[in-house]
Amino acid sequence: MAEKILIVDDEEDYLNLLRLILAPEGYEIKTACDGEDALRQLDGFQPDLMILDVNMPRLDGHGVCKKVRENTRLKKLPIIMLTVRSNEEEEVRGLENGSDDYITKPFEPTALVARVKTVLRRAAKKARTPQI
Amino acid sequence: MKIRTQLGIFSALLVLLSVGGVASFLYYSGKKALFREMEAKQKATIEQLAQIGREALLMKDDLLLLNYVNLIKKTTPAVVYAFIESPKGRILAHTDPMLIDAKDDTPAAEPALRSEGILRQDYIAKSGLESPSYNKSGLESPSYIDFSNPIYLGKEKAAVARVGFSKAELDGMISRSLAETRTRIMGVAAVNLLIGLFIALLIATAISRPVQALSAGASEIGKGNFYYELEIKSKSEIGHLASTFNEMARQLKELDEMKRDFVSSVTHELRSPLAAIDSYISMMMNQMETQIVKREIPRLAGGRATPFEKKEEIPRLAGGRATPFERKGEIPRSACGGPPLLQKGNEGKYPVSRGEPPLLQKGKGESGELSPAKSAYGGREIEIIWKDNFARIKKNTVRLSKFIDDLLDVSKIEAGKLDVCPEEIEYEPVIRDMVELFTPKAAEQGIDLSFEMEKDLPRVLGDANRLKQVITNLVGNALKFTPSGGGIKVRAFLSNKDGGRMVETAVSDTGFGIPEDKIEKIFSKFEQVKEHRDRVKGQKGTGLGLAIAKAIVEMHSGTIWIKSRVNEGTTFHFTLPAVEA
Repeated sequence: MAEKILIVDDEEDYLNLLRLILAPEGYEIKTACDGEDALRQLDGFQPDLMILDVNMPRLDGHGVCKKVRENTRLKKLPIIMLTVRSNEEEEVRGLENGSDDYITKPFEPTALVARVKTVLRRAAKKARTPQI
Repeated sequence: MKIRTQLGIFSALLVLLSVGGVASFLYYSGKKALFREMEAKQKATIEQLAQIGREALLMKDDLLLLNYVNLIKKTTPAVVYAFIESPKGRILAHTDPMLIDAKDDTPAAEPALRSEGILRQDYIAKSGLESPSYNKSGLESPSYIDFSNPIYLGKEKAAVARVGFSKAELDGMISRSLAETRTRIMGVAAVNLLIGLFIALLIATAISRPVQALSAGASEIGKGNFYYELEIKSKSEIGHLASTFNEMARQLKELDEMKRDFVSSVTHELRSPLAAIDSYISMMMNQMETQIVKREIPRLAGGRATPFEKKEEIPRLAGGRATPFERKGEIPRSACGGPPLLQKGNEGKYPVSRGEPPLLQKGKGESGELSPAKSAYGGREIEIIWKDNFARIKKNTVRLSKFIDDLLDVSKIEAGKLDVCPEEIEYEPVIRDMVELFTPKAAEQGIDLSFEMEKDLPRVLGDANRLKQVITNLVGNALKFTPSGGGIKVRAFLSNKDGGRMVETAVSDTGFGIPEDKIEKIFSKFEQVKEHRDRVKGQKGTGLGLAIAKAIVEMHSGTIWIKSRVNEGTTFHFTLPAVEA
C-alpha cells in the first residue's frame, strides 16, 4: 500500500513541485494550502508523513506542529519542516516543537526523496518495536 | 586650534590686560599719594617747630626749644637737623648742642647775606658735615632738603625755624614704601589674575562644551550610529542646532530602518521564488537524466525507445500537471526556434551512457554548430542543448541566491544579528575544503592555486561554516582579479599579531593590486575598485563579500587587513584566536 504524504505550503508552486518529485516515487500525495487547512484535512486523514512549510499565513508551521503533537492520534506523525535557507534558530525551534527533520529551500529533489525515505523508514521501525 | 583653547586664550588675555591696567593705575596713584603725604608731614613738622619756637620765644624758654628740637629729631624720620635762629643769625637752639651760639654773642658778621643757601653752606661749614654729593658751587643736588619757617612775634620777625631732611633717607623711605605698595598690588593682582583665568577657562569650557558635544554627535551619526542623541538643553543657537541635529539623526535612523526592513523583506521575498525555480530546474534535470536512462536501457537491450516517444510515462510523473515533456512537439520548437526539430531518424545516432562530456565530443561538426540555423536536430542534440540551458539557468539561480544570501547577511550584520557560533575546530579541513572547491575553477582560468599550511597548527576558535564563507570570499575575490597565468597562494600559520597567539591566514594573488587610497574603503559595502571592475570579464560580484568577511572575522575577535601593490598583487590577511593546548 502506498504511503500517504500530506504536503502543506501556502505557495502553489512548491505544492506542485513536491508533488512532481514525490508522486513518481509511488507515494499518495495530499496537499493543504495553509496551517488551518492542514488541520482540517488531518481530521479525516491519517498520513504517514507530513511535509510542513514554516512560513504560512493564518497558522504557521510551528503552530501546526504543536497542535499535531498535542493530539493523541497524530502525535507520532513524522513531520519534515520546510524552511527558507538554513536558519539555525528556526531549525532548532522546529525540532523543539517536535518535527523529525527539516529541509531548506531550495532543495535538490534527490536529497528530498532521500530525507522522506529516511524519516518514513525510521517511523516504521519505531512502530514495529514494541514500546517499553 | 580648539574653540576651547581659543576662547581660553582670548579671555585670559582680557583678564591679564584689565588686571595689569588696574594694578599700574593703583601703583602710580599710590606713589603720588605717598609724595603728597611726605610733603605734608614735612610741612607739619616745620610748622610745628615754628609754633613751638614762637611759644618758647614768648616765654623765653630756651630749654623747651632745645628739648623740642631734639624731640623732632628723634621722632621724625629723616630729620638731620632742626634749629631756630634769630634774624641776626644767632642759633637759639639746635639739634647739635655744639652749634648753639652763646646768649650774649654778638650778631653775626653779615646777616644780610644769609640767604638760605648761604646759611646752609655756613651750617655745613660750621658743623663740619660734608656730604660727598654736596657741591659747593651748585645746589642742584643737595644732600638735604631744607625747610624754613619764619617766626613772628607781633609784626616783628623774631626768628626762623629750620628743619633739614636727609634726601637719601627720604628717598630710601619712599622707595621702601613704594616697594611695599608694589608687593601688595602685585599680590592682589596675582590672586585676581588666577581667579580671572579660572573664570575664563570656565567660560571657555561652558561655551565650547556644547560645540564639542555637537561635533562628537555629528561624527557618531556620520559613522552610522543613528541612535545617538545629543543632549543639549540650552536655548542658545547651539541648543537649536542640536535639536535640528537630533531631528536629522532621527530621520536618518528611520530611513536606515526602512532600508533595512526593505532589504530584508525583499531578500526574503526574492528567495522563495528563486528557490522554487532552482528546485524545479533540478527536478527537470533529474527527469531528463531518468529519461535518458530509461531510453538507453531498452535500447541497449535491443529495443527502440526514444526519449519523447513514450509520452504516456511523463504525465504520470508530473502528477497530472502539464510538463514540458508532455507535449513533445512544442518544446523543441519553443526552445530552439528551429522548424523540423524532432526527427526520429536521428535518435539512434549517438549511443550514449549517462555521462555528458562524451556526448559533446561526439560528431565534432554537429556539436560545434548547435545553432538554430542548422535545419535538422536529433533528439540527442536537443537533449544536449536543453541540458546545457538548464545548467545555465541553474548557474544563474545559484548566483542570484548567493547575492541574496549576501544581502541578507549584510542586513543581519547591520542589525547586529549575524549568527556566528565559534567553537574549537580543526582549521586545516576548513581551509583545504575551500581551496579544493576552487581548484577546478582556477585551473580553468589558468591560475595556479596553491595551499600551504604550517605543521602542527593549533585548533582555532571558529564557526566552520562562517570561516568557509570568509575563505570563499577571499579566494573568489582573488580569482576574479587575477589574470590568467597568475597565481594565488593560501597560507595558514601561527602568529603573535594581536597580542595573543593567533592563527593567521594569508591569501595572496598576483592580480591588479589595490591603489593606496582605496585600501581603506575596500571593506565597505558595495565597494569595488572601479578600474578593476571594468577589467573583470563576466560575473563581477556585488562588493558585499569583503564587508561580510570583515564582519565575520571581527565577530571571531580576529582582525583582517590588506597589503597591496598596484600591478603586483594583493594579500589579504586575517587572524583567528588559537586554542591554547
